[in-house]
Amino acid sequence: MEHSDKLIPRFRPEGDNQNQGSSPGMGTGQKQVALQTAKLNQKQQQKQQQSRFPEPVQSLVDLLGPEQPKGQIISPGQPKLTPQEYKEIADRHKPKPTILKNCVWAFGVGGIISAIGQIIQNLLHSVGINGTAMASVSSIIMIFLGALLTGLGVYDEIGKRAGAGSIVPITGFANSMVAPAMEFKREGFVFGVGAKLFTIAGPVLVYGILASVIIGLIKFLVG
Amino acid sequence: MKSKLRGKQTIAFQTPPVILSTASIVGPKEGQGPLGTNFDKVLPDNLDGEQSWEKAESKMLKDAVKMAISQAKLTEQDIGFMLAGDLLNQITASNYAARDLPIPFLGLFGACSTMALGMAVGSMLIDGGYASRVVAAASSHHETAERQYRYPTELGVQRSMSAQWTVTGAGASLLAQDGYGVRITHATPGKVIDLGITDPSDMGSAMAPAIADTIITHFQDLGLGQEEYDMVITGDLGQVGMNICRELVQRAGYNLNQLADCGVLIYDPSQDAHAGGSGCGCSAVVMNGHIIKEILAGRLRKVLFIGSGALLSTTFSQQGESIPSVGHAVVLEGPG
Repeated sequence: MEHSDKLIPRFRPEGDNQNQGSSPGMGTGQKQVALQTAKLNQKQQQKQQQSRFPEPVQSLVDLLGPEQPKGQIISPGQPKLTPQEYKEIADRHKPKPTILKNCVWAFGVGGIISAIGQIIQNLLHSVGINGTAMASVSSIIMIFLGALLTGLGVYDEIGKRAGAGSIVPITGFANSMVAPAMEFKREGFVFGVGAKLFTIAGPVLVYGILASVIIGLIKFLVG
Repeated sequence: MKSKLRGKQTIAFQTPPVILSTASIVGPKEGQGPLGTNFDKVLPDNLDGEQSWEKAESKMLKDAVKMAISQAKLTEQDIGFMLAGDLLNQITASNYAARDLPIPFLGLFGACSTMALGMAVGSMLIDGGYASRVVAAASSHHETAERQYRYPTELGVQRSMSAQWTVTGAGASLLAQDGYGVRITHATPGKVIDLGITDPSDMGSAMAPAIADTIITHFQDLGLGQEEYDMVITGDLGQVGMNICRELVQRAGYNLNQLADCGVLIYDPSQDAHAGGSGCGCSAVVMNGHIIKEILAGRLRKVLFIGSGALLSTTFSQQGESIPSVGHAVVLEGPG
């Protein structure tokens, strides 16, 4: 006990009677009482120590229970600012997305890309490539164009303005494959390109294939 | 020993450390911005002859540290500690910069508040008597940040109007016990605050409460009024975050007409940076390349600089967590 007391002198409370507790002039009974009070004091002190540290500096939610709204006291003397209240303030300052302008751009660029695809199909038709072969060859050409424009650093400039207008057409799929391929080449061909190639296109493939499987099953069961 | 703590969390330096010299290196986009001519060096492109963007960022940081030291006509051996940080995972740009420098290195992560954090901790080291000269530095790089936090750079995606553009740049300040220069008189490290903003493309809104809290606490701790500072400048709140911050501070009774933001200053609206610049490099180059020079020239007398950091990661963000933020403040005062 004495040893451990010496080992942790810093935790001794001010005005503590531990030193007096083991003073030589005491009887054994007195000593025991003194020791017990010292132990009690120590426990109390530990409790105080514990309650002194977790000061509710940022979130009162732990102390007040989960029912209380989570919030912060930003201005002293004023009630906590709750996330709901703050969201209202933040939303007021948020710039309005330029929806109309974006739609016009998406419509225009998406239309142009589709028109180019149609021109290619018509050209293929005129040289005698028809049916599924025409669809495949025109897709291949469009994917090539998308990849080429990505490589030249043009496609992201188009996408910045056109949004879905350049993401939805098949050229957008090409962009989503070539962009990671270019990006992660520096990390090597296996763990870079190989592993990261599908970071953007992956979700499209996963859920596209899943949807087609489900529809296929439905068709099989219904008719 | 007399306590240097004022109020709740503000430190008043007994012998305010002096910023002996500064360095700022930026990429071409920042060089074309309104502050372009103030920066010490503008890189020809974001790769600067390196193999990768990460290596370019690390080199930029190392060069900024070296530049700050040589501008003070000192050598690397004269520097006690280097405090640096960046946005890359494991603050690798700083680690690899420190690899090539013979200076004991303390890595810091405060996200975009790292420059202010470095100035504050560096001043504590100097005023505490643990070092006579310390170099504090921070860097960010548009492409390295994009690929780590967002999408591959060549992907054609539309950025939201509240999104900010990560600055390619590195800044360094050499702090010393004595000499001539701008002095760091106080520091107010901030609390981490999160009011539930989850949109990573709206960091200004996420950070504004933390910054407002640090500003208000700073004023309360020192019993100061709004007129004390010629300029109160935040790190990278952007236009959106700055407006919110102004309103939050107003709720506490302070009208900060002199509120500015490094992220708003660094780009021209025509540069398509949306809400403004961001990143550790943003405040690092604006403070070291512009504001500290303005104070030295006497155009500003006393400036409160609050670095603003959004302490998120893509992993936490994708797991649905909101964005915790922090603001660290330092007071910069003109010499004499």
